[in-house]
Amino acid sequence: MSSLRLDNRRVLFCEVIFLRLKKVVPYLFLTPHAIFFGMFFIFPLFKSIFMSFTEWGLFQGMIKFVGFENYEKIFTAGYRSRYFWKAIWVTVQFVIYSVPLLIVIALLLALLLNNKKLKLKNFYLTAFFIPTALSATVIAVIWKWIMNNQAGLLNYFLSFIGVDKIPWITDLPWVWLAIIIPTIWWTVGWNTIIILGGLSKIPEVLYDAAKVDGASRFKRFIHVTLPGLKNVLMFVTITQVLASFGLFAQSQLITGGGPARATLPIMLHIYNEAFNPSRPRMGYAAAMSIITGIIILSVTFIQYYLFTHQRKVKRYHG
Amino acid sequence: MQKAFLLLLLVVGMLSTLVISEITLEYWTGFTGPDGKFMQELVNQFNKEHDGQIKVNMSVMLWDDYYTKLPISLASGKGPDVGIAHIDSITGLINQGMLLPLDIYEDTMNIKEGDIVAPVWKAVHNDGKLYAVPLDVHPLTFYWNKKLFKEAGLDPEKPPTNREEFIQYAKALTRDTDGDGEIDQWGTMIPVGWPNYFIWYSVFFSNGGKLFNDDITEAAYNSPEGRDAMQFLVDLVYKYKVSPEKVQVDADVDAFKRGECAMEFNGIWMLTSYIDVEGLEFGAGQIPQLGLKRPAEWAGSHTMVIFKKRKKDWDKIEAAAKFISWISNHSIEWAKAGQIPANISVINSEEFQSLPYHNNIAKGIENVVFPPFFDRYGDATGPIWEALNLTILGQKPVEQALSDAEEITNEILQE
Repeated sequence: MSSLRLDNRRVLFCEVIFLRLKKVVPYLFLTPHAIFFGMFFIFPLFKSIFMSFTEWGLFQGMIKFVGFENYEKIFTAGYRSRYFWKAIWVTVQFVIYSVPLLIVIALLLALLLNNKKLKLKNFYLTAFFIPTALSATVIAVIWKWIMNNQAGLLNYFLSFIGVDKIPWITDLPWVWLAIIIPTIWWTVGWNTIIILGGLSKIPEVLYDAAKVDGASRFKRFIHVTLPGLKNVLMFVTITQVLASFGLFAQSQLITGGGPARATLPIMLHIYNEAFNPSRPRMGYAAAMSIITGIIILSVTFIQYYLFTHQRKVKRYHG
Repeated sequence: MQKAFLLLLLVVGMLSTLVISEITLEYWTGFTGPDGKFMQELVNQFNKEHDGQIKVNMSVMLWDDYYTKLPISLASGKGPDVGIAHIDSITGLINQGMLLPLDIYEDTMNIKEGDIVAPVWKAVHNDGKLYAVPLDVHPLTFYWNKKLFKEAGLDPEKPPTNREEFIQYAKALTRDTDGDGEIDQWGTMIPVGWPNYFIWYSVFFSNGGKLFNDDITEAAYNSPEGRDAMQFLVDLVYKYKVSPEKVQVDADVDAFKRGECAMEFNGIWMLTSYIDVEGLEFGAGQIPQLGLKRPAEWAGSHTMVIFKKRKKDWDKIEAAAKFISWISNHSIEWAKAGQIPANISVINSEEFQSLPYHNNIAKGIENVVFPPFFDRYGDATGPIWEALNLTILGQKPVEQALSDAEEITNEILQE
């Protein structure tokens, strides 16, 4: 009996330990991520805020506190602020052009792939998704060849329908296409897969019911598919806007930001300033990235508000 | 007994370190092209000759990465002992405190004034101190297609030498070869972007222009010389119509290889890849005098530098000086990679003179003009690149483009 009592006590002890651990264990599971998140996101964030108030060379003893000087340069007239706002405008333009296309095309592809009668569905899915796995450099090289204005494949095909040589990579407005088309080809597979996942979650029953009510194919799309995809589309839109704000490699490698900064996005501008070979300007680049961060954050908040707000209104009416 | 054994061990250990005191040098370069192979061979040969004394480890990376990694690795106390720097980035490296002055090693290296091509030798000095040993000069080079010259009734051994001749030749070489009403062979090609700045630069200095005022506080390129040079390039496209419009970067290279562009301007670094094109019969030489005053041409230069490290290891620095001197004296191998050696005795050597294209290109080397290098040279000339692209696209008249550029350059210089 005594041993049993001991056992009881032991069990109780273990239980207490377990309960205590239960509170700690989740955090233990989080630590590996928390360490890296802290190291690569939280720490750099605070460090770049600090850097933005300094003149920051890469060597020790080259750090000078300058207060708001870096921010002043962005907001007072001069070539620096012109370059900065021009780069922001270029990025915003890219967001405006690329986001709707990347979502509509992904939606269309997903709808096509969702067709039950479609054979080789996985083959098509893979085909659309494969470019995502390529690196930006590969994409740039491929498309630079295709869009070569003297001897490119695209201009060759266009010449059959009597279109003159188009300077894809050198002149406005074509340079925008030279960036947007490869971007779509490169990244649309990603959105397609997410939307496809959303489509498969819409219950078949709803379509059947709509069919019974005599809804046309188009009406079924408007009243069943779109509402069913609402959350997915919100997710895709927000992530796509963020991704498009990060435009970098396509500009750097395809157009070189040209002609004359017409396609030089803010991320590339920040990079160029920060790692300027003759004089790295990390401090000024940090200030620019903080302002850019604030801009992107506000856009995301507005988007989030619009999406959630709309839903509330609907609920109220419904 | 135990003590004696330990002592013995210690002595043996010390002796062995003395015997194996081979110095290892880390050597970084950005020669990712075919040139990297030639450099590696040189390094291998050096290692063989200095077996047991000095061992050089060469690492190759893209130039962009190179200049990004360099300060970061040196700042963290690591990084290379010896490396390559482009002549126009030396001032920036000095100002960041990354380079070691080499004057005290002039004896070890046995390289002095008169051994190296004069304009380059002058350009590697800063405040009267020597900071680098020039390895090569890579000038903007004039390439012409001999076959197309013959077809147009021009003497393939006599390329144009001045502006009038150049325009006249270009007109004769711009042709519609298959008679479909569209021009498919061009006299020349002026790209929107790289390397149009170097062409403009050559014409500009050939006009006797000056980029900045003497104390580098103001731009001086918005001058008759600058406007004339830019207008000339624009005229080649729109007035004489000897270059297609809106040529993209490197399209001129492809067209020259295909025989659709008869006269091309590009760096000497294109030479080996043109030689590799089967059936391409071409000549290469100095730039015709496209300006109105004197011959001039743009050139870059790879120089060898010793990096200042947090802990100075004098043995390593001495070994690095030996390595630099050895490479400079053996730069004939480097010439085969498509460069003009900066070492005069190598240029004059029989072996170099017998290389098919090089000696012809090397004739222009005396005309090379280097700009005043200062750490913001790249920033200050950036607006000219933009102005060139806009005018060659026909989006801005030359006067306006240059005065807009001048404004920005002045802002940068006065910052």
